[in-house]
Amino acid sequence: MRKVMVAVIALFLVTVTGLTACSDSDKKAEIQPSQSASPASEAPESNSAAPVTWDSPNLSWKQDTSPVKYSMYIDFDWYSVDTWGKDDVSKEITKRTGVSLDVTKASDLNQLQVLLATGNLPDFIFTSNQVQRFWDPKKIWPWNELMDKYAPEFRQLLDPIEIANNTAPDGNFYTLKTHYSNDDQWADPRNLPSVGDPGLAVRQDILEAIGNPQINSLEDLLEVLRTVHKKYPDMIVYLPSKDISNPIMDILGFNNSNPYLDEQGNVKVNISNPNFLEYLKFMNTLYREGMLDPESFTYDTDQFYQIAGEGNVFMASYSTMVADLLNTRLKDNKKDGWFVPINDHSITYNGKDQMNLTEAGTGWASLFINKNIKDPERAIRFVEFLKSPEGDALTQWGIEGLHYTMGDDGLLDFNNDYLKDKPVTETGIGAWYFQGSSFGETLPMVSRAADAPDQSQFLNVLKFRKTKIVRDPALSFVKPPSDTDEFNISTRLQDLFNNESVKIILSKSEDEVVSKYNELMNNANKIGLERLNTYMTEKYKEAKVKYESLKK
Amino acid sequence: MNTALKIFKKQAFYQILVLFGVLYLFIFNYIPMFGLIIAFKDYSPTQGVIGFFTSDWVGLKWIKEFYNEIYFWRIIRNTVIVSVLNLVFMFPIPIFFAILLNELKSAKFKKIVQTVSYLPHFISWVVVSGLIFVFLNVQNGLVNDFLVWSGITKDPVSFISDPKYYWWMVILSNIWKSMGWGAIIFLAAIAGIDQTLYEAAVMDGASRIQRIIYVTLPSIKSTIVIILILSLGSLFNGNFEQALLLGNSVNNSVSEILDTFTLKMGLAQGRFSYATAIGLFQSIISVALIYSSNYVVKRLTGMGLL
Amino acid sequence: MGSGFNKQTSASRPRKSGWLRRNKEDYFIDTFVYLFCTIVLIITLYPFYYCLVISFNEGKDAALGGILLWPRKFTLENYKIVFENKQLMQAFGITIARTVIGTVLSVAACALFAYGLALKDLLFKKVYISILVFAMFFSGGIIPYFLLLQYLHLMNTFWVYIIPNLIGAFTVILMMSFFRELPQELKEAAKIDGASEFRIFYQIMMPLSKPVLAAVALFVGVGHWNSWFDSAYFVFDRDLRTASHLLMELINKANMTSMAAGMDQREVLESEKNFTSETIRMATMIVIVTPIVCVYPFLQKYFVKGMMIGSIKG
Repeated sequence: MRKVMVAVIALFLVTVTGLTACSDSDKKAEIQPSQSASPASEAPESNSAAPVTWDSPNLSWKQDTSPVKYSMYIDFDWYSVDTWGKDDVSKEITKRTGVSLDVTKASDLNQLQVLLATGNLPDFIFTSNQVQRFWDPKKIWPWNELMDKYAPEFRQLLDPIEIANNTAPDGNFYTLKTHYSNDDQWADPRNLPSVGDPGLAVRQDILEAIGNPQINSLEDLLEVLRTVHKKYPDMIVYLPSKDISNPIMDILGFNNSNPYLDEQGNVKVNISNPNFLEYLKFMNTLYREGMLDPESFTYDTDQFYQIAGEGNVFMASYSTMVADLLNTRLKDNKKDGWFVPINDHSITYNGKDQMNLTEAGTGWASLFINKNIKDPERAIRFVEFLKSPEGDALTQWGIEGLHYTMGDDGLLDFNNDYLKDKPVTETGIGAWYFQGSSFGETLPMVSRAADAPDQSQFLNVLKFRKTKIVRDPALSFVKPPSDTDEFNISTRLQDLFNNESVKIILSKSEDEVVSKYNELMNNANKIGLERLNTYMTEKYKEAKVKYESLKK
Repeated sequence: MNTALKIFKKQAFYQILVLFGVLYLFIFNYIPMFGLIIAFKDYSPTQGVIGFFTSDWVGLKWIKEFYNEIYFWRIIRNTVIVSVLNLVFMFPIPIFFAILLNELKSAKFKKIVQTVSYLPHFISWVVVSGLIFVFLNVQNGLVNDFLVWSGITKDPVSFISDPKYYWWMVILSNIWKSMGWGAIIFLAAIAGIDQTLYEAAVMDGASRIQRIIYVTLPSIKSTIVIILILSLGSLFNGNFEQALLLGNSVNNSVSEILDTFTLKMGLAQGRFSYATAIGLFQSIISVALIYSSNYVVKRLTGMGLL
Repeated sequence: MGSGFNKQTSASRPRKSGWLRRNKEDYFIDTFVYLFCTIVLIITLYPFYYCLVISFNEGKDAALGGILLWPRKFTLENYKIVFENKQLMQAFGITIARTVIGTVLSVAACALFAYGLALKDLLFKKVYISILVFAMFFSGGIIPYFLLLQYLHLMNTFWVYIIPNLIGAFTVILMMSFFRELPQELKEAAKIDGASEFRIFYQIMMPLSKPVLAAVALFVGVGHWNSWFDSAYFVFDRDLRTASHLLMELINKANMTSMAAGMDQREVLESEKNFTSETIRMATMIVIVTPIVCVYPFLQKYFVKGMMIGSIKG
């Protein structure tokens, strides 16, 4: 019986997704809720089901907008806002939905765990840490239950893949992770990967001074670095950053934290990748030839920019915005020089493009609803609002008319006169993204970049990466849950990687690199590398089956 | 028994004071100690409070797991080395400084030095680590600029990342940060010294050094002894914040200590059982150290905690 | 009684007698002492001065680095922002209240406990001290403690700052060691005069213990002032937060990346976006730390030599 129901719902959802896809292509319609759904999206509708769209006037959240107050715990100590009702956006949210929040921001890593253990969870919890511990129908409301009870159309409006992405082993989904783009949003040319992806930049002026050599392979790059080192012996040839994964890892086909999918379809921990050794050797070469200072592995973000902004660095890596941020810095410092990103095009190694950007892409933080919340009905409806394109636009772009207007080009025109020098605590733009999509996050950035082309070289990097990224949501199911042996293994391996890779890079000779690498792998095997790889591959294959069936 | 009761009655005033204190400790320190049982259990916060009692017993699993950590010996070694260095330097230096302040003749200057020297206690390690960067970094750190400019070294020195210099950084920053603060208690002790002792010493023709050795030091001996025993007891507790902020991926072979490890692999991962087990291990060693050092110190000086 | 001490400068007695025979040793020691103290003065003052300089500099300019002796672009803007922060000013009130009330009560409680323990032939003394030592080193962790406070209805009240911090094992042990050194003859004499035990404690022993009371008050007071953990964990009411809690939040915001726990890439980026400029952090730190720093000079008068004599004679 249940299976039949599921099949029916799935079928129904596929149809609805088709609808949302149509309305997706018409973004203007979406961000203006007053405007009725465009006829284009209704035209192909032959199904007898009610044509629910995000623009429908009778969505659950619109039915009751009387005042209600909830407590909200934000588990990020760096969060930009912690007071509701002081900024434009939160005021506007309250105006539209009646909901106001009593926000508590984390001050310490363990606080939420203590609240969980002692049964003191607030109404809403927004976290990305140990989320599996919240997948418990006794403590947290499964959204499927809430939706079925209080907002039946909400579920129909969702992409079934997104639901699958968030479905816990018990079959419920307790949240919809933020910063997710469904396939249609992902296909939108305005949507780009996260600017937090790794970026690699070199000084164009110096490149020109040495004859403007092409950098199309890692081998080319090494030659360039050597030439620069010879010609400018006092210059810091390469300044990496410890906080963002190294773009050279990307070029070599693996990255810092995520497991990777190998050609045989197995999911493995990054250090299993044979190119890990190549990475260590490459970095070691830079170190031994005096082009890389060990201290750069200790700099925090501030210090990194301070050093790089002195104009004495040839190549630097940080996020994709590294070139633009450093150019600004050089200008502020009244130093000459111009950085350009180089990972905006294919860079081969051993004659082959090794880049493998397969990623889960299922989103980031989770919003949970406490089972003891006093008014679950309004809670899920509030979530519906946040999740709607209207809510997404309001939380991430601001109030239309006041903060921005939608341009004909599909980009946002910000009202800079109003926004000038106003901190986020006053505007609230981009602050309350409890259900924000990654599209909603990216658009303002892309829009602003269009106004300042000399500060938006990062767009090229992101556009290039987008062509390379393969989204495979099954990968999000390989991470072992807390309180399991596999989880402990994975933590230890990460620690091993963090502890040892820098030390291997700082070896005296290549032989030493190899022997230390072997030792590392030995230790990794002792910790349980194989066990974790097997576990992840198994989980991946299980999830893959699920997604395959969803596609059919 | 009867005599004990008699003595107790005679001491009633003191006993009541102490028993109130003990009652307080019982409520605020001993009742919550039931939490220690999760060191031998498989506890997860999802189990709630009841999980403290209902979760599965795992015996010494966590201690064994800790012992089998690849970095176990390294962490123990680092913790002990940092602590011993701290003891060797951080224990005598405040005493020395307090005595020195006592020898200052200008009251005003003394007051200024006293106040200023305790300022660093209020500067958090976060800020200290920032300062260390400003002064010691390889690229434009002042100290390195000076070293290279003056020709003392040919190349700048990687104070921040080279494991070789880590202990020095720890000790020097610790001395700098807590010398003035640590001296306060000894200044209080010195203030309590009977001045007639000095007068008598002067009359006997004692020099200033002699006065320090034969009057000042013996008079504050009991404070010194107590502080010594307490510092010995803390031998196994590193300075967590310092290790976290001065440590980095290049020098972690010397900077990782028990406390940072517990945070990183235990609490940051939400593994309360594991963290508790390591903490318990630490506590047991601390108490053992207190009692044994008390025994030794008492043998040597006739004074002690107990 | 107090006025008597104030007149006595720290070195009055030794100087008078040493004046006549100011020899080579004196010169040597004095030079050494002054030199050493001057060096200490400079190296301990500079970092604070540095923070002060940064706090008076324009934010974007300070981020470029290279400011060491004076502000490059002087501004009062940072302080304006700090003082306009109503939350911080509210937190200041709470911090002052908890420090004053907490210190007075805690010093009193610890002194009573320690005084009891300091009795020479106290019955069960070893047991009592062991109880103290174990309390100092064993803790059941945060979760049971949280529950206890909840059960006692201290959670989310002002008293959660005071009551759980009344007795600190370290403070008690320290005071005990001082009380042991007090001249017992005075006690006996007072007893013969018919003074009650409490009167002996309050009117004879405590005035004699002013230096240690002052030192302990400073320790406890500074502990209260700097404490953020209880504010973060046990208080949800925004109006009850302490200033150090806010400072900790500000400082952490910028430094989580360097913390051991590690962040994912997105968090690194987000935290960077929400970064509070170093200049404002420094200004906040200066504003929060200065009041407590200023307490010490006032307590120093209790550290003056000769107190014991004066008291006994008086």
